[in-house]
Amino acid sequence: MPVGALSHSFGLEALVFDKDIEDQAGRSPTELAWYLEDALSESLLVDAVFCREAHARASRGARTGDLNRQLSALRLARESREASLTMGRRFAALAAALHPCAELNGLAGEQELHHSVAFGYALGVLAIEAEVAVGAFLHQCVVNTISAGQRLLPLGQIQANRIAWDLKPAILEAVRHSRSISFSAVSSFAHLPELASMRHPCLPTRLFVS
Amino acid sequence: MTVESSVGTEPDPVAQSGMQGPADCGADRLALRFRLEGGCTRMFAPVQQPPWRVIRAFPNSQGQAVVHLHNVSGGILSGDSLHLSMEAGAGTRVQVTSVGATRIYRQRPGRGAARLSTSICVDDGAMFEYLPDVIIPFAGSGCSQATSVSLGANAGYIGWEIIAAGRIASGEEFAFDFFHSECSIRSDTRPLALERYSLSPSVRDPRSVARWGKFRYSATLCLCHTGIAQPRWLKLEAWLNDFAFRQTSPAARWGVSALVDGGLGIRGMALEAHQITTGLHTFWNLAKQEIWGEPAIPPRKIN
Repeated sequence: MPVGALSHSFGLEALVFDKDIEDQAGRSPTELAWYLEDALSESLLVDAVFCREAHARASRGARTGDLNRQLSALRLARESREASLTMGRRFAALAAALHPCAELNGLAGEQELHHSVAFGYALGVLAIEAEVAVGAFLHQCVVNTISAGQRLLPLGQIQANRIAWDLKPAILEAVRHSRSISFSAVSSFAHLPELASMRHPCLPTRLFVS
Repeated sequence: MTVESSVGTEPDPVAQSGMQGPADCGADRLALRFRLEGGCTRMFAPVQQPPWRVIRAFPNSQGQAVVHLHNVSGGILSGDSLHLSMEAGAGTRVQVTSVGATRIYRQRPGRGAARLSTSICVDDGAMFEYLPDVIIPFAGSGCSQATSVSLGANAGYIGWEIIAAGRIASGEEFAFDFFHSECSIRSDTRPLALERYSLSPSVRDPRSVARWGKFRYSATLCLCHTGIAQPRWLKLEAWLNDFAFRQTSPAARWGVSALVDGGLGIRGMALEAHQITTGLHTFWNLAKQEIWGEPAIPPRKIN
């Protein structure tokens, strides 16, 4: 759904600027794939766990305010935090417009609403299976980052699709892993990407909002 | 303003006032309480069990009670369960630091992993600085630490955590078994900053760009004041982040972001320890002058 995800790199642009991910035709695809594979067991795993918890809460009609407050506190970098919130609000508004009902209207009225929470909750309201919801969310995150990579790195269409294809086992592993972790215990060490996201506002040239 | 201290011999004013005590009663505990008396911040140490040791609080020129935490065993041993509880009463001004690096020693066979928990309560109008030295997880070590900070109304907190990849000078990098850390800073109304991470170098490559990249030290500095509105933090973020960007070199990198409310988070990563300490002191000083109107005073170290 069009929620503005293509405007965000979530720190990737700064990682490329700092040459943590090499801007070389021979190395970029491999380095981007490694980065995403590791992110699926760190920062993206956190989103997966919150997506699953929001889905469960939708099924039992519970609220998500504490999830959003926790996610806001977990995201140290302001730009990435605001990007997630902006996308969450847009997703909820779209979902409520396409499928008007009390639950989704209520979701769309939330001011502090992260993308993973909005996505999980909306798909829970629509009675779409949790495994599918979490998998679809992670797939979308991965594809969006690859798309950002295509604009930042010498990365062709076939290479980009190969990365997405090759990451499917890692996505499924993250989906499986998210079943066994509580949102109050999930952990992530992503200091370098967070630092990159903090530095992003200062880059001399920026293609992305975050 | 002067500072007085009292260790172990006087009744605990915090217990008398009904404030919450240390959470983990099975651990080796150190409890420090700070109370304002006649304009002075006074320290009480109602609980002090080995290997913890504090001597007394020293006053500095800003009227802070400066306290050095000692661990007489020289580091954290496998099987250790240490709990540190610090409560700064209303209006007090406190600075707590360690006397050296926190060394986490190799796990001995049959002994459990080390555990360290720290709870800090900053009451209304109080100001608390928690500035421990670097954490060095030795080869074969395993440790879990948890730090929770709760802030009252108009309360201030400055705290940092520095983690090294290991004993760099001995050629050890990411040779520890695991290091788990949880840190939360909360105001009366919401969580301001949460961090939970697990490092298991043999399971997940720490040198990934998604984690440490090429760096060997990582530091996080949080500055919070529950009485200051978000626009001021955003303004400070812009100024400090611009400074951080200009300070960055291939060997050390810094970034600054406003927290979701009531504070700033500053992240630094570097190849050498001195680059981290220099950077932290610089950002601490700049931010403290801007928010509290006074310079940072580095703690005197007892060597």
